[in-house]
Amino acid sequence: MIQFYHTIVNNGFYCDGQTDDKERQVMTKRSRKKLGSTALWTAAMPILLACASSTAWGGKSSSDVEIKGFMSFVGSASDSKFPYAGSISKKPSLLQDSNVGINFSKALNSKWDVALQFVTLMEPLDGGFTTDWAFISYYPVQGWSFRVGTLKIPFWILSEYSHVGKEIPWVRPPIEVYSQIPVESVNGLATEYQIPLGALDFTTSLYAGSVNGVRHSRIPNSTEKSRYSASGIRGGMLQGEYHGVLMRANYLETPSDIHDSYFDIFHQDLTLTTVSAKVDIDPILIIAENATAKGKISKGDKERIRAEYDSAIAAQIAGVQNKTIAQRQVIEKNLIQYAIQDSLVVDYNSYYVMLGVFLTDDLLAHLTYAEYNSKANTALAGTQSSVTTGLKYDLSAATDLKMEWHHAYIKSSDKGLISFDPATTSVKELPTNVNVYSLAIDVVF
Amino acid sequence: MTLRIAYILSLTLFASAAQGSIAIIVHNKSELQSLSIHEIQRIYLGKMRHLQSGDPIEPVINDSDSAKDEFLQTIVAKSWKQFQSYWHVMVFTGKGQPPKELQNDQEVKKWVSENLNGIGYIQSESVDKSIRSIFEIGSTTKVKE
Repeated sequence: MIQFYHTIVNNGFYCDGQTDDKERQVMTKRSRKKLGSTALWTAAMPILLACASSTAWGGKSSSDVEIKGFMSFVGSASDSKFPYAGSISKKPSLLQDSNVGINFSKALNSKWDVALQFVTLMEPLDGGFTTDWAFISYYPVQGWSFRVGTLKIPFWILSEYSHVGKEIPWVRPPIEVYSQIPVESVNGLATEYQIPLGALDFTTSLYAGSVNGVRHSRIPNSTEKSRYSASGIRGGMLQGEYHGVLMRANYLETPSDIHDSYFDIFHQDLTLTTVSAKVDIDPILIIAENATAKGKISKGDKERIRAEYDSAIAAQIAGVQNKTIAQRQVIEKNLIQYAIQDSLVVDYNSYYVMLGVFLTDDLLAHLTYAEYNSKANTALAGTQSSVTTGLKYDLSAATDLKMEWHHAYIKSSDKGLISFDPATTSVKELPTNVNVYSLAIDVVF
Repeated sequence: MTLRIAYILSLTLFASAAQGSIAIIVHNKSELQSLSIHEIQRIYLGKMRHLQSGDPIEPVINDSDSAKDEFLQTIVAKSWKQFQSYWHVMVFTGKGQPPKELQNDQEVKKWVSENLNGIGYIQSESVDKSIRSIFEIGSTTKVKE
């Protein structure tokens, strides 16, 4: 029964291949054991840093193919005995959230460009370099551009370059917003139209595509996974920029299918709406973003899933003699909730507001308040708020140092963004306050 | 009061003269006759990639400190660091490559004179017949907006 329970409750997956940092890190422990290569990264880091810092940025080289790169070296630790925001734990890690990216681009002629970017997370080393994006761009006339390939979705202000630590204020973007969507890139096409209206730069973009992937359970040490596909992604973005003020709104919708290891398949219609603003007027930097996600499962699928679960649970529970009726009812109730969370996205609303001040040209101090609210009553979707404060010091145009303190407030009997195994841990055992301390070095080269 | 204004004006003119002026230059046969500050800014930020004719625009950065700082602050409204940061984002989102960097006025003039769609900036006193100036910043600013 316990084994069955573990199997069936493994919900809250992350995507493999095209997913965000936090979620990929869930695989950390088993991947590290399997590959055992963190020592390699540790040894390589000083060499990479030395190469990076000695490489001048900017300007086109004589080569036809432009090669650029970025790297973040992050150390983090929390005071929670349960993994937080993916896999941040009490045990300090010098590689968690660290990454390396390599970027290649080539102008085929005055109207066609081709570019691709690989990125790897140093921990877990679950797949080497993966394609962050890769596309061909076509610029037919001034103002218009078309892209075809693997594209980053402009969900949020930073989402197209959230891996490039050097260009974001935080060690990690607010997890309440940035770690909740398991898909970053789609295979498809996008068009963008940019027009100046006086000093206002107005941009609109439409995109469409599909994505397939594997989702791994967020439950610590779980090996469960399922496959997902979202074949009808379509969305649009509007953006206005006036001097140092930028406003952006984005809407995306897609049908998705989840192939679970337990039940065959179910269908979910997803919508995601984001509104973002950025004010960058020296010495003030303000960024605020709001995201709302809704995942609708058809009534028929809900009933079918429930029936499948009911049937299996009944069969399993019948074979377990030492469970009381009350215990069985709790298990059954939980399993139904977990089944719903097998969906690609749970319903949630989240936002953050960051106020930053450049104390000098090179030193940014920032304070962020964020909230995540999910009404989905599932094992890993809860409600929390957090305060993050930190410093970002630019050693040069290509290198920075960051230090950050993140404090999350989680209501009693809520899960927040803590990962835990509901088969062995009660929600009441979870902490109501979590502190995360982080240091980072970011480089572009 | 009049004396005070005259004093301030004289200080301003002196400062401008001491700083020198920057000329935005193009190829002698370029179709570009004039550009607004906003258009030059958009060219250097990769937002304006083509001329009306459809030909590509190829901007270059003059790395000599005095010209670069004045150009970026006055036209692009960014420091060198902010300019680099802007292009980091452009590159790592696949939306373009930063302008080519050249060391000094002579290199910029040579490059522009050899590239029909090139655009660059140099100290005004370096302007000669090999290239054409379409905009000036500084003590003798000629804004053609």
